[in-house]
Amino acid sequence: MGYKALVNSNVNKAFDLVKDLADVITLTKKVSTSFDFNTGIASSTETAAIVTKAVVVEVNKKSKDRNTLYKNLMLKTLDVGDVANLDKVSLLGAEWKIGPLIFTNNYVTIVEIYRENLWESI
Amino acid sequence: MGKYLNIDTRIFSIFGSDAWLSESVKTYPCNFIKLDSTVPYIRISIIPSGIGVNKNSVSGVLIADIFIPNGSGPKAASTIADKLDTHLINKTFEIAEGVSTQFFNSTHSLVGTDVDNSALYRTTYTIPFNYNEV
Repeated sequence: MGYKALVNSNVNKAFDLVKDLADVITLTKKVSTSFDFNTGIASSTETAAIVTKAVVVEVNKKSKDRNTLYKNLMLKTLDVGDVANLDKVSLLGAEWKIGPLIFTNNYVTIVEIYRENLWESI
Repeated sequence: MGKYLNIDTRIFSIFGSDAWLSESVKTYPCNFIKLDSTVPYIRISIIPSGIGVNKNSVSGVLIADIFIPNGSGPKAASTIADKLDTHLINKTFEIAEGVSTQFFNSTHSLVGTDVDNSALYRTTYTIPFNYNEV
């Protein structure tokens, strides 16, 4: 087994070892987008849903934010590949949008996810 | 249809026309997620922020951000700006009787390395317009 496979195997093991700190998420990625200038309509095609585990590593709530929730989510890079702004994540029954990429390497990816919600305890 | 939607619709139709498509310049609107890696490309923003001659009219600028490979010199951007001139400068587009969008003279400024992608160099093509509805 090469080093990359070894590390990825250990990443999988780590996500299993943290038990319920890792949540099962469903990621839907846009694979192509287009815009028709004659109709003014943007369209996109999406991948099939990718089901994997993710760990919420941080919950952010800034004083300037009135009704936007942010979380930092750690994902397995091997499972999710490249993620882009506005890809969607279903986490604990709610849909979140992918925001800025915070960190990525061949093994783990940390992204900010966000959604609008006025009243929710986090 | 209101004046702002009229402006968007008419100006966007220029970039959906066969004449513009034949120029082979990838064109995107603002507030759009581009996933393909084609370069060069342009991003269109319509800003109807000026005063009009009556309550149904407005003036503004059309901004085309031109993205070319960084380090490739300015020629590709100037070529695209010239293509935009061909389709826009001093042109009047009738929308309906008494409703038109008129473009004036353009400018083209070099902005520098794109802040979001250092592989790209950005220039900005700007052309003012009047939307008149009598």
